[in-house]
Amino acid sequence: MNNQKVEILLVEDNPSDEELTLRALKKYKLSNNIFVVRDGAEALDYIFGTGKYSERDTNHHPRVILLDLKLPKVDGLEVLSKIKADPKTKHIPVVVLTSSSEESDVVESYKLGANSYIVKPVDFKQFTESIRELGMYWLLLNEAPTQM
Amino acid sequence: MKVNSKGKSIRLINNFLSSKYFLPFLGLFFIFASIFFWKTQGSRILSQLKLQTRLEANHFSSETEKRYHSISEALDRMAHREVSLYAADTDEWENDASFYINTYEGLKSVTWVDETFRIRRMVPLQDNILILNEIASQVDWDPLDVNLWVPSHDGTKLNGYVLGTIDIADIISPVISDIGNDYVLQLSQNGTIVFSSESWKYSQTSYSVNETITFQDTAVINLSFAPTEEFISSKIAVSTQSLMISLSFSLLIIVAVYYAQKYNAASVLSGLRFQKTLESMVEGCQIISSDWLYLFINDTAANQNRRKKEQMLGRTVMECFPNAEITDLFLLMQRCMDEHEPQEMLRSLTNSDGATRWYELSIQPAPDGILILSNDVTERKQAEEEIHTLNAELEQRVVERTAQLEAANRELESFSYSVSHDLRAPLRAMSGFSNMLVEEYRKQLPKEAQRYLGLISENSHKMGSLINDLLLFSRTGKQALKIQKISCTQIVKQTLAELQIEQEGRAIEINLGRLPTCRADPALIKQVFINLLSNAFKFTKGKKKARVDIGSKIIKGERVYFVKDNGVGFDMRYTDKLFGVFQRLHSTAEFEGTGVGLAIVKRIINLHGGKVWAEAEVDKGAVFYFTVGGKDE
Repeated sequence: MNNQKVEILLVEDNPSDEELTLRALKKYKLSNNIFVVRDGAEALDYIFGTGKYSERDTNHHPRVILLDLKLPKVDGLEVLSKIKADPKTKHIPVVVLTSSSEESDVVESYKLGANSYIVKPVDFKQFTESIRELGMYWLLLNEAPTQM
Repeated sequence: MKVNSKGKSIRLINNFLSSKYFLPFLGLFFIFASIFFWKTQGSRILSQLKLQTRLEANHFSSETEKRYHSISEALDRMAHREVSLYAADTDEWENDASFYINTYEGLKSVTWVDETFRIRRMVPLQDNILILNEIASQVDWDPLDVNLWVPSHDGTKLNGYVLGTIDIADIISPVISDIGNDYVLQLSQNGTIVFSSESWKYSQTSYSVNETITFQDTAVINLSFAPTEEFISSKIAVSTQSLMISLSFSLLIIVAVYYAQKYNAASVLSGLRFQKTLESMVEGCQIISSDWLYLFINDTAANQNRRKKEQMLGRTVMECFPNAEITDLFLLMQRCMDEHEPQEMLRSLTNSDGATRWYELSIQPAPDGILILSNDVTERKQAEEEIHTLNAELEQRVVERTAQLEAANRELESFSYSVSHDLRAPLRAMSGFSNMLVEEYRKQLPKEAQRYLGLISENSHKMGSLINDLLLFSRTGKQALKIQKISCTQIVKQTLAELQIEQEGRAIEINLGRLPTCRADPALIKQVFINLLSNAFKFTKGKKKARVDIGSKIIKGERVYFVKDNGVGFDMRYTDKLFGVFQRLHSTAEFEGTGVGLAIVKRIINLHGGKVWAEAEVDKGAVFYFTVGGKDE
């Protein structure tokens, strides 16, 4: 396991999207410490230090979680609600990064406490631009609260 | 409370008047009243009769006494004159005597008796010639006569006596004729009957009156005086007559009341006409007396009861229908009788063949009983039940259909969700990796390969737009309309501002006319204007002087909004294709677009209950009209 502190947790089941996201982040040198999980259950294990991540130091949290909604096992909205329901994790900024532009998804995400909702554009240039903007904001500009 | 008790007592009186006890009561009352009246009148008549008899007897005796007295006076006068006149002239004496006898009825004879008590003169002489010169006391005088001795004095010397013989029958005869035939009488002297009326009877003694007639000191005659039987019975007859009259009057009243009551009790039946009407009624009709007797049943009611009329008439309900007392109907009939309030009931009867028939019963209070009207409502009831079943089925079907529709809707939603989510990811990969290829391996790629990759990227972009528009279209109208009063002018201004980019670098003349407010969903109407205006801008691209007019007018009494441009227009032959999904009248090379915009417009306008249509001419421009339904504000 990577000993360096994880800055971005990417929850994404689609390998193509994962690669495109990672490339965009790296292109703008936003972070080298990105950890990728591929379904909702694994995301929860990682965040709460359970299952195969039971040895992880849960005192440290990623600076931002990029969360897809349509995920195997446990879907994104449920992951979001669990993160935001736990006092230890609820301060972690969660950016919903999804293909769905359904109004109900947007509303539900914000209701559950999502910090941002970004629809992944089909167009590569627009997509790269979106990732750059969100990385800039959440990693460089946003002041995270003091660790609990 | 007071009013209540008053009303109650009035009702009690009414009940009594119309009850069966009233008539016997009335009859007895009149009979007793008549007898009482008769009795009092009878005794009054009798006491009157007694009094009258006594008066008559009194009158009789005093009249008789008066007559005797006049005779006595006349004889007195003769006795006075005897000394001076009659001693010399015997004829004069006889003349006077005859005159008195003729004048005074009852004076039978006048005799001169000398001082030696010898009879010297007598008028009339014929019958008594033999007693002349006889000693008067030795003469055998008629015992039925009364002798009146009047002495004749000459100073101190007694000359003799004037003796008047009075026939009692004669002296009383004018008095009897005076009192007429209503009374009878008997006279007796010293126990000897001296006179008796022909029809004298002892039975009349209860009304008879005893009186004495005193002939001065000469004689006392006992008078028994009584009304005749005929007179008594005539008097009694008067009271009997009045009894008869009052009895017949009572009877008349009773009969009148009886008929009045009977008419009341069976007023419905009283006329043959009514009876016929009742008989021929479609409804069943029964009249039941307060003691539960069937008084009247028409054919319909008999059929409904499944009995023959003859089996029911004159019998009680309980006789005709054993255990009738425990039925609901009986309770209602009872209530109707007790409270005099009409009652209603729906009743079912099951035939021997198992078919159930329904009857609507109306129980009405009638004098001394009830009237029941029954209407066979089986068919109506069946129809109602049928409707009920059909409704239930329909409801069930609606529920099923709704469930099916909801399921279909959910499927559609999950479909569009999948489209939204899953279809875009591969496109993003295509676009992304072809771009990455160009970015990272530009040097190795020939120009042609780079162009191909550019086409891949461009097409995936186009497909992304198609998917977006399709989703927009499918989502349009899924939510409930939020109808409110909106300012179309505001919306158009806002839309124009948002479409600023599309006008960039072009000189487009925009004329915004007066747009009245309307009631519609603001977000959707904005979408309509967005689509129509961006179309207008798009299709005027080739024009040097592009012009777009936005306004409204009244067409056939309806408020119509329009967006007019002077662009390329279209051939009106294809107007029916205009509002279809993915229908395009221009090639993508000429004008970009997915062909969903107008389909969305049509869907929104349809949702508002309005109409949308277009008029165009190739190269001259197009006008899009729409209404939003509802009233112009």
